[in-house]
Amino acid sequence: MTELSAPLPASADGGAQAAVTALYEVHAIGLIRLAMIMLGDRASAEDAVQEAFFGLYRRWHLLAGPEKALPYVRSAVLNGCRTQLRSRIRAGRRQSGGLLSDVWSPETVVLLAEEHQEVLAGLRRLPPRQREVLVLRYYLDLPPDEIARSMGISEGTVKSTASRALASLGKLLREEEA
Amino acid sequence: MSTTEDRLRAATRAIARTVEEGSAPELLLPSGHERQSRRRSLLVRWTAPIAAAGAVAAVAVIVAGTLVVGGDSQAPAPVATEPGLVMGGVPPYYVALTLSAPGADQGQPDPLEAVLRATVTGRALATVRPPAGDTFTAVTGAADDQTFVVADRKEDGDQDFPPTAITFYKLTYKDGGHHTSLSQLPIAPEPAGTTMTGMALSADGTRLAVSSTGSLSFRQTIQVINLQTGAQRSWYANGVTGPPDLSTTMTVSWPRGDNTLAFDWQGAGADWQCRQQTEANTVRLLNLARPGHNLIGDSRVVAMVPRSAGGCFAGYAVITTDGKSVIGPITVAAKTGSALVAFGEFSVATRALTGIVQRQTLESPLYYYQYVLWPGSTGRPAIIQPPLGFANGAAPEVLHGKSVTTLPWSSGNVSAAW
Repeated sequence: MTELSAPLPASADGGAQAAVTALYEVHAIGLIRLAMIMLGDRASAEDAVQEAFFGLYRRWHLLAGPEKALPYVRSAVLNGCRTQLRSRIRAGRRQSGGLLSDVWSPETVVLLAEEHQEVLAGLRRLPPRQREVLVLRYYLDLPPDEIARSMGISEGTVKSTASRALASLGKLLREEEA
Repeated sequence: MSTTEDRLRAATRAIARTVEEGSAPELLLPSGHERQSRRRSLLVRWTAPIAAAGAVAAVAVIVAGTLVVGGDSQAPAPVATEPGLVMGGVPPYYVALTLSAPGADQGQPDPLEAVLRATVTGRALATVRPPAGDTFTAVTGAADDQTFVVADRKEDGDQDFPPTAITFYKLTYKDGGHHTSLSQLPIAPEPAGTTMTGMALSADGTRLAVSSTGSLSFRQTIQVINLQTGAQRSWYANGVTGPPDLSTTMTVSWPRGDNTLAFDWQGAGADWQCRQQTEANTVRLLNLARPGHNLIGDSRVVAMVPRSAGGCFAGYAVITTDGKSVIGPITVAAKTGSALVAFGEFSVATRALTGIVQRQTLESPLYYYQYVLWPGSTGRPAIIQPPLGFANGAAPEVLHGKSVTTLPWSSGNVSAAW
């Protein structure tokens, strides 16, 4: 996927608001899609992205350089997704319709083929870190070193986590089909 | 056959395609001192913790083993004695579990702290933080409105599943939060790998009921623990009791002064689409005086949603403190894209639906799971979580007859106990 690797806007010298807005215009859809995969509903995904850009705006003066903005905001989106998922778990909020509908809105589920629903249900059963690694690796096609920077973990941890996560997901899918 | 990698790529791209190009909403950034948002909660989640952090200062350490204890830097007056601050029939204080700094620092855990608040004003009176590296996960209160129990576990994102072990702490407040203590209860922890689904402290604060599901066995268990002696007794539902996805849940509640315990039950055979009435989706009353350990055999149904009203509890139902009624959210009618939800009152004696309050239609019923946060006595006010949930900016409501009063609420709160 290339949607998150578009060049950064060159308007950083136009002020934080202009720079962050420009960055948002280029990358918002890609990040909303990323959050959508992690969270499963559009409104929550948009919130996570808005919060991430708001955080970027507040910390713009602390950035080591404009090239750090996209990695920062991508990490912030993932962190926001993590926080939302934990909040949902802590609040004990569940629907009675099964695991998939715990997260995915009915509108989203309807749009997905059954085989995709099975994969996403399996993805949701993985620990958050494993889920994030798989999404960054197989949705965004990020290399291990970039995943490591996005998640704040070592490259070795990325590789071992991806390996375990893929094995777990494969097992879950085989169980589902059995 | 496709590999797991291929299937994963295809599935994630399929869901990504549901977000169309050019459909991102406008970015909302603050302008000067004015911070407005069409999603108010978005900004409130940033600003409220900052304001709270400025107001809180550590003020008291009371007992050995006590952790960090903070309070409002403005000396809190005993709220219950302040004129106009007591709402009829509702406890004056509650403990909220609050995100300490939601999303403020990348990669940093965001543990939940316990914050004592005044019910009527929402004012924070004292803050208790979990041990370093831990988070509080649940809270329950006794009838004296001063004694609470909090569940605590290690905060480790990589260990969210299976869950880490849970330990329990007693949290007490006196004089409106002036004196606070936190001490670990001398009871066995819930072992790692167990998902705690509910927790309730008896009215006199001497017994703790915990409902849980085995993460691998999916067996449902209720434990009752004597907090004075540490004695523990368990009841089990045999075998796999629901689809292996942890969606089968239970919560527990105590009627005052009775040797019984209520729990909501969504067992095997429950109709997840709520199309028919079934005993697999009910509230049951466990007789603690009986010698057995069979969760179903030693309990009886005390509330059941009639088919005419949808046949389904749409959330967690609890027994009132007088033991005469059950209050619970029900789905009155559901169709694609909307749902009519309400709180129903049931007679424990007849298990029949006796009244419906706070009926409302939800256009987007994704999260219409509701909770009774504090049931009160039959016919008296109850405190509920409305359908949108705290994470979506909803605040608790006091229901009394046809009257609905929304309580002041901090957006960082994720749960609360009265």
